[in-house]
Amino acid sequence: MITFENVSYHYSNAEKAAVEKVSFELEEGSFNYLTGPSGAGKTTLFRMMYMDMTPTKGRLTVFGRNVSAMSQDDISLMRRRMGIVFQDFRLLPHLTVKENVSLPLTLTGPMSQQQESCVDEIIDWVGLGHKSNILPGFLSGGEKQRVAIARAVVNRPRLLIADEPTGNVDASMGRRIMHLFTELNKQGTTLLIATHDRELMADCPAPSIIVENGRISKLHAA
Amino acid sequence: MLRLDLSARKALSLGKDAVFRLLVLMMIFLGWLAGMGAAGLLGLDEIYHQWQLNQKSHVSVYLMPDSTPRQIETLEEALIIIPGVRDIKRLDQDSIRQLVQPYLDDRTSLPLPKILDVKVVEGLDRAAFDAQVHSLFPLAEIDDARAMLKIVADGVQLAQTAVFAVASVIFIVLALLVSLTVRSGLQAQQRSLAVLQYVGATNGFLTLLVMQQVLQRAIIGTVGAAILGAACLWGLQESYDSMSTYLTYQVWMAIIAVPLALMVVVMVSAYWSAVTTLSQRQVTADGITS
Repeated sequence: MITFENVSYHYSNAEKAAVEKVSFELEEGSFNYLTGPSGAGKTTLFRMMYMDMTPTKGRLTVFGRNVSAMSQDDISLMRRRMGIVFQDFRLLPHLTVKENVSLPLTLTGPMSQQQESCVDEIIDWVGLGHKSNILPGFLSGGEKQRVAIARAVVNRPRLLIADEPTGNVDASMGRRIMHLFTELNKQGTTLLIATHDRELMADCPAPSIIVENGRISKLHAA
Repeated sequence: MLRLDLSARKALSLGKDAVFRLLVLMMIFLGWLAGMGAAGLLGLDEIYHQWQLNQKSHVSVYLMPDSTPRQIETLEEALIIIPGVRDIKRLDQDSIRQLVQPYLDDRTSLPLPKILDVKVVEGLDRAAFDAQVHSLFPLAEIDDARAMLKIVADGVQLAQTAVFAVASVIFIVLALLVSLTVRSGLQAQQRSLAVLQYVGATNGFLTLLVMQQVLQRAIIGTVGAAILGAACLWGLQESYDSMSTYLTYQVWMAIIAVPLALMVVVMVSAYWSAVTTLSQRQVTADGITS
């Protein structure tokens, strides 16, 4: 599904590469954690996975296609098969909770009744049914996190990548979110979660990719 | 055209940009201005052509009141053989009186001149014509409106060129304004654009969002400009009876066609600006494109 082959990324204003000669593969239907200390290169790897950046060296393929050879429109179309949860949520402040969540479904025209129901269902599921018509500015960090997660999973993505998805929610909601993720994984969604939360990793065991100093230091089996 | 969901349209709302909100007013004003200019241009052309048709084929020869019928007959015989002269008509006394009445005031006892209305065509040998008239009637006056027509034609052409230049400037200004508005609107919404792209919006989809908003405003602006222009023409027609002769079908069409052409310019400008702005966006280190 995603293959890194000797991938390096060097920011133009940095002395050393943020990611260097990284090789690993995310298999279709797998569930992995991506972990490591701050500044290790997790975000850079993440951004390359959702094709926000292309490798400065090496070869990265997503859904079997070489990212470096893709146009912006190809990337956008590819992202329709992905769900991305950002650490900073990236919600649109002038859209309501429901509009934010339904955004991925609106790209191909007006939503069907079934899609509308699906949006309502997922908003209810993350516990924000009573707030579906309010703007993100009136939500807490945890609630915004849940909206971002709902948006990422609403179109049943083939690949879900999440950066600290439970970082802003309480333990109970964290467990619910992880339950949702594992359910999606059982239905075939490939899952990659970046986290520092050892408790979370212990509760939902899965192989870990550990990043240190821009390199993959270990591939831990669950 | 692909139908868009309301949420998608709201996601990239150019209406937040102050200049974009003024697009309708700008289109109404500039569309009306260009439409009136074009209508004026066509109306002026119609006035000129009607006057030209009336004047260009006639030369009037004013003879002294004491000219005898025999002398006049001799002149007619001499003039009719000059190349370009088609017909000569001697005006009767009543027609002459009516013609000169405004200049006589109450001096009705003054003797009236004799007037020959000479019908001519292109290629009149004007020098031979003048020489023949003056050889028989040294004090005769020849009134040839064609010289004046030439001056008026030049004036009309100048006015038409000026109107065309002003209309072109209006078109260019509006195209630049729309381009600037779309570009600044998209620049102001980098975050929304980035989020839309993260969830899978292609540049084509984003362009469609922009075009739909521009089209909505352009239609309102075009209809507004056409209604305002038509109202002005109708007002002129109602105020001045003589205007209706010159307000031809083409003049009325111009009031509608020019704002429509302006709408096309607006749409092309918006499309080009959206496509180039979106294709030039670059990813920055914080993950937000610019």
